[in-house]
Amino acid sequence: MNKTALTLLLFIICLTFTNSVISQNPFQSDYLIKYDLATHKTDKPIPFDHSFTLIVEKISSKNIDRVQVFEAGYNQGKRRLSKNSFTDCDGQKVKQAIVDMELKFNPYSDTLQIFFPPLRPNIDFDIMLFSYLQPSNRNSLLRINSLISTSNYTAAESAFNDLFLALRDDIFGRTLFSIFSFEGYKDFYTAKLASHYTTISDVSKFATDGTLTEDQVRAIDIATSAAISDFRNGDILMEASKRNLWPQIQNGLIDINNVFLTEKESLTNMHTGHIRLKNMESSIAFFDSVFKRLDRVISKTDGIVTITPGATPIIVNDLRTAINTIKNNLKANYSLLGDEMGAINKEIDLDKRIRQGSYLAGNTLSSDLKTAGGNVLFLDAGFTNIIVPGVTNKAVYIPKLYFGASIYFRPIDKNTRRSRFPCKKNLDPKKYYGCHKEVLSRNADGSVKEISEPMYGPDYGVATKWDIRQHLCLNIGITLGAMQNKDFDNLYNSTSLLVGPAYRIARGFKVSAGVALLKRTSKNPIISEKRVVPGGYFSASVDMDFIQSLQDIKNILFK
Amino acid sequence: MRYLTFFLLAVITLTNCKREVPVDKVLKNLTFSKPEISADGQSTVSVSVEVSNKSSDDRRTVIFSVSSGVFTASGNNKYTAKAEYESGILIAKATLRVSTKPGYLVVSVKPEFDSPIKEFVVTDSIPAIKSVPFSIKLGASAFGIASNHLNEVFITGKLLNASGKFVSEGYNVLFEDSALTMAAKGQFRELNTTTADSSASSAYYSAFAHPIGTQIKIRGTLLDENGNKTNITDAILLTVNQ
Repeated sequence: MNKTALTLLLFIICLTFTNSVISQNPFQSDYLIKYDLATHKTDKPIPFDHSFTLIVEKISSKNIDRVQVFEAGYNQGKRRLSKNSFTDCDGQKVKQAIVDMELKFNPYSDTLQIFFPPLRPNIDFDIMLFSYLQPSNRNSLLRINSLISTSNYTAAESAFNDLFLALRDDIFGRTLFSIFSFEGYKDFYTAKLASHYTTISDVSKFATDGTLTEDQVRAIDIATSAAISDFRNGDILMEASKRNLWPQIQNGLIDINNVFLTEKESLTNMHTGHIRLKNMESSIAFFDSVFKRLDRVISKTDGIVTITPGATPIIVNDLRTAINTIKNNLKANYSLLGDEMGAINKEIDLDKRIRQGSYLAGNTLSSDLKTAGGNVLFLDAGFTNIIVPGVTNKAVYIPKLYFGASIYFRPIDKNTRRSRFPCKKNLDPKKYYGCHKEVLSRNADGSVKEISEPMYGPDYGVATKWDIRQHLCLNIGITLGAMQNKDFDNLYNSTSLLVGPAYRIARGFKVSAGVALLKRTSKNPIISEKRVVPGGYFSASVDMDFIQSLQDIKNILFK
Repeated sequence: MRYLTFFLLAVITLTNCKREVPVDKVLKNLTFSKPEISADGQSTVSVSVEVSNKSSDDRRTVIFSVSSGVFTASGNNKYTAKAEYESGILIAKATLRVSTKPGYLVVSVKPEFDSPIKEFVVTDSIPAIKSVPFSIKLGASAFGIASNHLNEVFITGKLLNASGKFVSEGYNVLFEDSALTMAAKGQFRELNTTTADSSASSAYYSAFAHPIGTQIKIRGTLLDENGNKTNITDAILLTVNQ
């Protein structure tokens, strides 16, 4: 095999393996980028034209419902979301930011892993995280529910307004809580939650028959203190017994540990399911402890069987039964209340209007969520065919070698291929600026049964789409060597100029056609100086990096 | 892609645009110093042509050529001259001497550098009007002649116009001899009776066997277009001396 054949073989091999060998899946990422919530910085530059996964530690994906990305930009020094002008569903011309893309994320991870498709270069963007209501805000909403359930609308509206303000971003005033009025929320409550609150406020549905007398409390104290250790919580039981708080304790209206507080401080009502659940949890733990102490008394071989703190002897086993009754009532009530509160929380989570948002970069004035820039200028070398009118207007063909600079109209990463980017017409979901609604369900006859709320976007402003500018560039080249045709001369010294559009094929190959500027003998016989004339050219070139790679391989093989 | 197509079309259009160079961008204003000239073979006329100011320094040479007559500097009908600035205009000049042939003198001027595209020639003409005889002057190579054809005398008859210059070619002169007391009976040889460039006619004359002392009159008379004698005539006397 001679050198030429081997070089040709290497060339073909290089062409074959310049394709990406990365396996593709819907969440394929070329890079992993970590975002530090504390410093609002990424550990490395965000790439452009490459898919990547943004890992945000300290945020669990379990609480995240949706992730959206918005294009941002700077206006008079302030970072704002980029706005679109469009006609809304009411036919009004509006100008506001609409979502660029809905992003996928890993819902099973303890850290938030957001999958990004390839993004455009030099783009600022904000990430908006739609999360379910966090505990403090959820409790506020549950309190509002309980106030509505007790028909205390004034207090409920006041609490609603407080919550609405709390869910607003203080810097830009953005909110994802999309029920904008108390009346609107009341409608939601009536439709989805009212029945559950009726259930939890119905006393008859909860078991409250467990009690302990004062003598029984004394007996527990005596038995367990003597057999095990000093029973320090005896005062709690005694206070509950003296105040006869056993129904309230079993309904969760009071935490057993708070019996020494005043009623105003400690007692809640039947409508505050979330507080009742907490109280029940605490009380269950308390009675579990008491129950275990009694079991240890009973389990001793020489243990106490009967105690007589007052006039009547009390059997320890009876004490165990009384405690167990209270504990079991608590557990049954907890289960019933838990189910109802679970259903209430589920209804709240299902309504996409009830969300709270957190923003990455958007409310920190950080500019770190920005894709990197890249080269717009590349060098290449190739062969050009110049066709230029001669002195007698006949076309003259001049072949030349040339060096060129390709100037792209956007930063280019040569390691990307057009298959990595979706075409505009294949975007899923479709690109929308203005209002659109989707049919959610149809009747049997095909008529529309349910239609979505008005939706705006996505507009894919930050996403890389297949674009001619990823391949089209301006080619500026200079030819090499003197002219053989005596009627022609190079434009400057020994070089002529080539200017025209070029199209990149694959990674390193380009074809170009345009204007060639060179000098030609004047048609005027009394002018001896050659004049600059335009001609046409068609050229094929290879990126200099690619040439260098081939050269390196050749040097290794033929050194 | 649409813009790319437009760009390529523009390139093709641009590169195929044929821009011809008109002759007046090269040479213009071919002029003569006088409107007409007498075809006397002696008069001259100055010819000038304007060369474009844009011409290169090494391309300012032009070639004059004329259909009849000669350029005084070269002595023939072609003359190469370099244009020089006169009052800010590049002018190439030549002096043309007319021939004795009446008609139009067609003068052409072109750049010395041959263009493969076309001929960049400017042409003009000047009328050469006929130089009409006003007088004839006879001359002889000797005033004595031998009788009986023992020798010959060369007779010339020069026609001049009113300005004393040559006449145009084609005028005929009749040579005659006569003696005072008898018939001359001499003979003319190599008669050249039609004028040409030198505006002259000529002949060799030998005398009959006359007695010594006999005077022979040689007369030259201009003939008109019909061969009739005109009043333009001259004569000389030859004496038989042996």
